[in-house]
Amino acid sequence: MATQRRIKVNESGQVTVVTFNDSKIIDEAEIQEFGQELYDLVERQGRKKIILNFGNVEFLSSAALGKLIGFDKRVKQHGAELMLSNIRPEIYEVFAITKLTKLFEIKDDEADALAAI
Amino acid sequence: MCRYASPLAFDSRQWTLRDLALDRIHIGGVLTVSEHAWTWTAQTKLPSRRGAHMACMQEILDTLKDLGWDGRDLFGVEMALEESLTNAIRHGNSLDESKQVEVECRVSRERFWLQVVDEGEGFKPQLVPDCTADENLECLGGRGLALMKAYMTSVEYNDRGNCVTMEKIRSTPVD
Repeated sequence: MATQRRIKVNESGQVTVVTFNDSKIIDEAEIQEFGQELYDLVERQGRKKIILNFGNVEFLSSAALGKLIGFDKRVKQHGAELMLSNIRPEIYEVFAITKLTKLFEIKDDEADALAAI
Repeated sequence: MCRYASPLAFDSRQWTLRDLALDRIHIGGVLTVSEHAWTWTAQTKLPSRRGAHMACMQEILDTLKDLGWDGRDLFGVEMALEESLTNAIRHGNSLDESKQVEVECRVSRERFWLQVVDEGEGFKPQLVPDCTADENLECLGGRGLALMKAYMTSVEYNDRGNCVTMEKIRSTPVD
C-alpha cells in the first residue's frame, strides 16, 4: 500500500473512514497528493464504502473542492459509495455556497454516516 | 511599498504602515473613491509561482486578527485572498514567472479592501458557467468566483478582466 501523507485511513467493518492530516487544504502540491491518495482508495485498493470525516478541516480552497468532485466521479465510476461527515459550519457553508451539498451526501457525524452507508 | 521575491524572503517589516484619513485610489484610469480611515495598507508584487501568495496572505490575515477580525468575516477574507491570488497566478499569468501579480490591500477594524492585477489577457466573468446550476455542479471551474462573491460585500472586474477589486464590510459589530 502506498504511503499516505495527507490522509489517514481506518476500517470500520466494510467501511473505510478517511480523516485528513491537514487542517487547511490549500497548498496546490498537497491538494494533488491528497487527490491521488483518495483516488487510490477506489482505483488501486478497490474500496467500496468510503466516509470522509472532515473533523480536522478548518479551511479548504476551490481547488480542493475540485479534487473532491473528481474523487466523487471516480467513486461512482467504480460503483462505490461516498459520504461526508463532521463538517464544521464554516466549511459546510462553502459546500452550500457552491451547491455541492446537492452533489455529496453529508451526515452530521461519523456514527450517522456509518449507519447510513 | 513592499517588495519581496519569494515567500521565503518575506519580511513583514517591509510592509507599509500608514494611517489615511481620506483615501483616494486612482488605478488604471478608473477612479475609486473610498472615504475610510484605513489602519494599514500594503502593496506588493508576487512572482507567478504556485504558493507565492502564501506569506502575503498570512500577513494580511494576521493584521486583520490584530484588528479584531474573526469567525466568518476572517474566514471569508481568507477565502477571497486565496481564490483571487491563486486565480491571478495560475489562470491570469499561467504560472509564467516572467509575469507578476500586483497586490494592493487596505484594512481597518471595519473594512477589508483588495485589488489584484495580473498580466494575463483577462477574462469575462459573465461567461464563466454558473457552477451552482444543477447541470454544472461537477464542472471544474467557477467555484472560486462564486465563493468570492458570497463572502465579499462587493467584487468588481475591470473591462479587460485582469484586475479584480473587492471590499468587505465586517459584519461583526465593532466595539
